[in-house]
Amino acid sequence: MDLFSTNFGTIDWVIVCVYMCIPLSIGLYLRKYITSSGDFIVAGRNLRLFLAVATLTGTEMGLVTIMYSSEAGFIHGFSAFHIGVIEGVAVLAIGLTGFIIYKLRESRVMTIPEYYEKRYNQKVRVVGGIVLALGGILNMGLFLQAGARFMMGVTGVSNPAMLKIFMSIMLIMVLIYTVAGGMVSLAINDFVQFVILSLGLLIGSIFVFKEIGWTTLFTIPVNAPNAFTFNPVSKESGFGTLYVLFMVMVSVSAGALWQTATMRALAAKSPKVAKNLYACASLSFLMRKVIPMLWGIGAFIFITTKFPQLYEQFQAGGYSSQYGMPIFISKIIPSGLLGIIAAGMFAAFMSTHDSYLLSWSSVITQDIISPLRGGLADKSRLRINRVTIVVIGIFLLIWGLWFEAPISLWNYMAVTGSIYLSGAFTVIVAGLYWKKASSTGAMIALVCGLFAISGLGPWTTKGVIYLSDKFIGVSTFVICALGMVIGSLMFPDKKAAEEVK
Amino acid sequence: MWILIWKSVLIFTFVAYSIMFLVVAIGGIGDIKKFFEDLKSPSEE
Repeated sequence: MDLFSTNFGTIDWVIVCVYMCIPLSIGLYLRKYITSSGDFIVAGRNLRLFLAVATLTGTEMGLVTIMYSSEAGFIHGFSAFHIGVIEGVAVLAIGLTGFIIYKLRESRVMTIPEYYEKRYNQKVRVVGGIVLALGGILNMGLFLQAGARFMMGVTGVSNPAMLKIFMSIMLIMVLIYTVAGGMVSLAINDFVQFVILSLGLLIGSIFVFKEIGWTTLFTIPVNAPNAFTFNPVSKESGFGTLYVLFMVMVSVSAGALWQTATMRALAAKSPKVAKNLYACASLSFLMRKVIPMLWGIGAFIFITTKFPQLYEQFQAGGYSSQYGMPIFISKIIPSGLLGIIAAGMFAAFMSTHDSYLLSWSSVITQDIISPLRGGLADKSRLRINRVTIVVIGIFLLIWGLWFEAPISLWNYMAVTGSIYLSGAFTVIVAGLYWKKASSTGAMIALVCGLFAISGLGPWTTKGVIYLSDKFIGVSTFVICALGMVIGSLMFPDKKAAEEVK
Repeated sequence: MWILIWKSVLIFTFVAYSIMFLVVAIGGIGDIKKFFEDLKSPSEE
């Protein structure tokens, strides 16, 4: 059996191509509803609970999520499940308590840096906007690459040149409908994508269970490396206690403050809806990791035990472990259904990309360009938003083509996310819950977050100088918190926090 | 112990998400209708 042999046939291509036309049509049709930047960014704050849950799920369950989660399952086995459990519990806790998101929605801001200005000052907003945009855009830097690898694995296209073509086509599709319809288009498209993707994942899992079997699924293959295990705090798993702690920090901060998810809370009909949205969506956050990880585990067992010659090809070809899951499902799911699942995955790709593009372009427009230019007319904001989306898209294409992460895809996501999250989490929590929090402390915390970039450096792979990405990640959160506390105590603001409110 | 934990997590995820999917999909259709009623269409401006 050839590594890239697949069940993907003509009918599957037809299904995927037809599906690709749906979001484009919706985006172009809904363009007429966009009359202001408020409609474009937060859909006039009209999202009710079920639609908000669907769009949040659609956004946060991207193809890149499926790829990095399945890769984690492929490498670490069931021990990777702890990432999904921590995330699900963190989001549920935020939903039940309203921690951060309730007060943020009450403040009626459109972006997180906008809150910085309300609570601190405009400089904090601009610096916060720059850090957020930098971390956010770097974070989505490998989305295209991972998405294109999935399409190659499923369709059986092994020519490396096709990676560029897949990436370009996928990007153009998303750019068109996001630039046209903004959040209104996103909400409707995300709903459609939520339905298709959920069905795809649930039905696909039945085939995984059928192929591998419940008992075999929980049996570690004889030729599996030590990292493929059940216990996440064991050293062999490649995780360990420090990593679990890092995941808790990332999950709590990202759960409450990741701009793409928080935008749904800010677009919710009321603070109460925002709170309920998080409580309901916690299941999506659990599922978005657990099901793809299951597929990754299934892929590893399938390849190593049922077709060991495939594993040899895998190793000999030096293929990224990201190919494991797509190659697996392309062999076990029959043609026709494979097309629907591929369309579902493509839906996942688009629903994430559109929201991320909209989020970062909104931050650049609202929180960097507008304050620096002393304000912008609404039409100018709308135009700059759209231009920025295209510019970010071009950057992503170039970055995705040239950059290969020295760490796993998920760790790349966690590290780049920490650039923004470590600082933002400290600044917002202190701003909302600590009266003495000052603008100087906030600036220090935001800038300290940049330390997380070192988590992408060559020293994260073992050598003379070795600093693990998880150590850098945890340290960044601690440094930011210290920076905020020390900065606020040493340089307090003249106005009391209540007066600023 | 870990095997039992992950088995429970897997079963819970499938059952709970399947139920949530049905509720959100059905409820979402109603929300979409209201969403468009709330949005000002150009003709109403």
